Amino acid sequence: MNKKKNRHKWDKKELKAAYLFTLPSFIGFMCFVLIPIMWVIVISFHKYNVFTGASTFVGMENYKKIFADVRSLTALKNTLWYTICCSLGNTAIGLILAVLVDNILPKKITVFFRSVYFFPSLVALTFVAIIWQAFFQTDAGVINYYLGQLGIAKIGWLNDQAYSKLSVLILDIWKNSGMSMLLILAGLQNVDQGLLEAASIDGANVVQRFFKIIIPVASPQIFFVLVMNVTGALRIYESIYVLTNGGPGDSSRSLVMLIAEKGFTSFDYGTASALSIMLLILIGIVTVFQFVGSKWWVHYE
Amino acid sequence: MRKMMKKAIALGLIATMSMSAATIVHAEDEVTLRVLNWGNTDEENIANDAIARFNEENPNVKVEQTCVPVESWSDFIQKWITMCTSGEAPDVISLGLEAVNMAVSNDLLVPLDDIISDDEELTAKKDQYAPSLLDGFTVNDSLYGLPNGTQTMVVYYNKHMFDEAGLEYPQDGWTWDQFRETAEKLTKDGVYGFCFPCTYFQLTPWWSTNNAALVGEDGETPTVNSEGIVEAVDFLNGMYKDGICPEPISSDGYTMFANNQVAMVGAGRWVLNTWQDAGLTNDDFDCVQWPVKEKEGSVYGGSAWCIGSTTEHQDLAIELLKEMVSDETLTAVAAGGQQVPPTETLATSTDVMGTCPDNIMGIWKAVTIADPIAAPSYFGNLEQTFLRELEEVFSGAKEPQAAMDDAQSQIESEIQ
Repeated sequence: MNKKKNRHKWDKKELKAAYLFTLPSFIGFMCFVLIPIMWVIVISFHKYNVFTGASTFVGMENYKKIFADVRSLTALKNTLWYTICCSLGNTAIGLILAVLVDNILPKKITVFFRSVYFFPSLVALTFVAIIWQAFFQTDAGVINYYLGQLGIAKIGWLNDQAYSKLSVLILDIWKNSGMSMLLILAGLQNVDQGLLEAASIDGANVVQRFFKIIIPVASPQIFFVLVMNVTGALRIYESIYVLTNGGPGDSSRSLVMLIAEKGFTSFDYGTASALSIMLLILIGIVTVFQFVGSKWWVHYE
Repeated sequence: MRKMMKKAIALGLIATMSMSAATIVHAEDEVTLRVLNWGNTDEENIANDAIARFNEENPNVKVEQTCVPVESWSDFIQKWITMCTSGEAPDVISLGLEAVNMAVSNDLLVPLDDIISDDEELTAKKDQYAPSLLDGFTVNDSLYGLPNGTQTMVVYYNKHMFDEAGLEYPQDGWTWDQFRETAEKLTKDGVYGFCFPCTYFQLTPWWSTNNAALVGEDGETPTVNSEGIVEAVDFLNGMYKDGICPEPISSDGYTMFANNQVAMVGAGRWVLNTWQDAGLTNDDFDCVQWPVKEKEGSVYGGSAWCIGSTTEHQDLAIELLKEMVSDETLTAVAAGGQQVPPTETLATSTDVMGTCPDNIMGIWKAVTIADPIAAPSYFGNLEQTFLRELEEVFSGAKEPQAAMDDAQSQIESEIQ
């Protein structure tokens, strides 16, 4: 009893130091996250002139404008498409690569493949854009050239509204799945090799071992990667910006691209802020669903 | 004791942070001029050389240059506003024609007319510029910038392909119909007759030669769905649909021209260095003025040095501006091979412009007959909306008239 009380008292004293230690990061959070978000909420109810700094209160006008604009609906649909496809794609391919590198490929060349798959994540996006734009060109592109050799007609990767999102998805997975692989790989290190051997002696095949042992053990990492990928995909911007710039038309434009356009091209900060708040709410809802859903399949030891 | 240590460390950390913050705001005694420039490192260095010459005369002035790459002019204006709001408003600014109205309508620039008429050196300089260029930097009869370089468009053609097809080389004054006919004859397996990109500047000669523009005479009213524009979009879309031009959204016409994959392409001076590096010579290609529909024409853009309206040292800013547009600086800019010099003397000198291709002087002629790029105060909106709707046309989602009507109504609702 006495010991417990002492410990509690000690905690309280430590608390002061703890506050002092966290103060710098708290100040950073206040200045760069919390206050800006509050500010964005305030601006979203105003018509704000960025040049003069003058603002007029307009109530829900900016929000009404968003819901009346068919473009924001298109951007929302595209964003949800990216969220589902990019996050599942990146996580699934990251998982497959991780298992390949960890279990199936010979140990000696593991390091080599780990580097190869992770490499795209290190390349600056500007160069990625130049390379993939050359790949995706309709008339002089590399991909269509090889498809042509196989007798497949030219695909308008960047100029056909039906394919533009798919092109962005391919680039995004190429660029980001390596990062997912690396994070999941850390989780796979927790898988007990003895357990796998025991399972295979008991007659479990590769698929069974994968779903019954590897996935449950690595599930915290997989979940973490999935959450990161989902929130990342909801905010997808660079991959689109460098490849299609949202086009053709609005066919590949995401919400964040629309926010940037409203804010920094049209200088309509009110509407851009209102859109940002909608996106914030969307990310919040999706994240809550993920955490609630995770209880069914994520196993913490 | 350990607790004391931790407290001390924490306090120490905070003290270090606040001290480093304090060093940023220490007062400066000498006069500082801020220069906002755009372009690559070569252009930044050229400006630095000009600043060094300025410093020889004014040793007590500290000049800080910020040089940013420009993706879009809205970004540039954004950067400018950020500098202003953080108390670092630039005194001397290099500004693209696209952004002049946007800057003037927000009171960011000083009119230069009185400054120039009071100064002999600047008056003499002003007289050397092509009048059409100065028009581009004039808003409501006031001049806001002295140009340091310009860009225009002519049609480049592959001589060998004309020879093979048994066609005469095109001459200035050729018509749209002759152009299309020629392009059609040059199109064969693996080679397109012409290539146009879906970009704002590069398409403007088509509006200009059809006596149309994206904004009205006042420079502000959008006229995106005017008859002349729709007709020109229809003409371009027809050439693409008929297989004379490669797909406009993703194709890189300049590389395709160098690789003998297209016979004709529109461009300015900026492609010449790359093409010569790729081995193209006077025997391989030449240029000709844009084909004519209603009138001869082309487009010009460019940049000019301006003075920021918030400057506290206007006299010094003027001196620095003089150095930025001195013959020495203009020649250095032109020597970079990207820009066309803004004065006739320099732009018609083979020392500056080189001798490749044969008709290199046609580039200056294009500047003199060109219309300025349409750049109203809502330029960012216009460019983005117009190109988005053009993509709708070229991706087959909309007809030209419908797309341009949509663009017009979207722009109107955005700017009201």
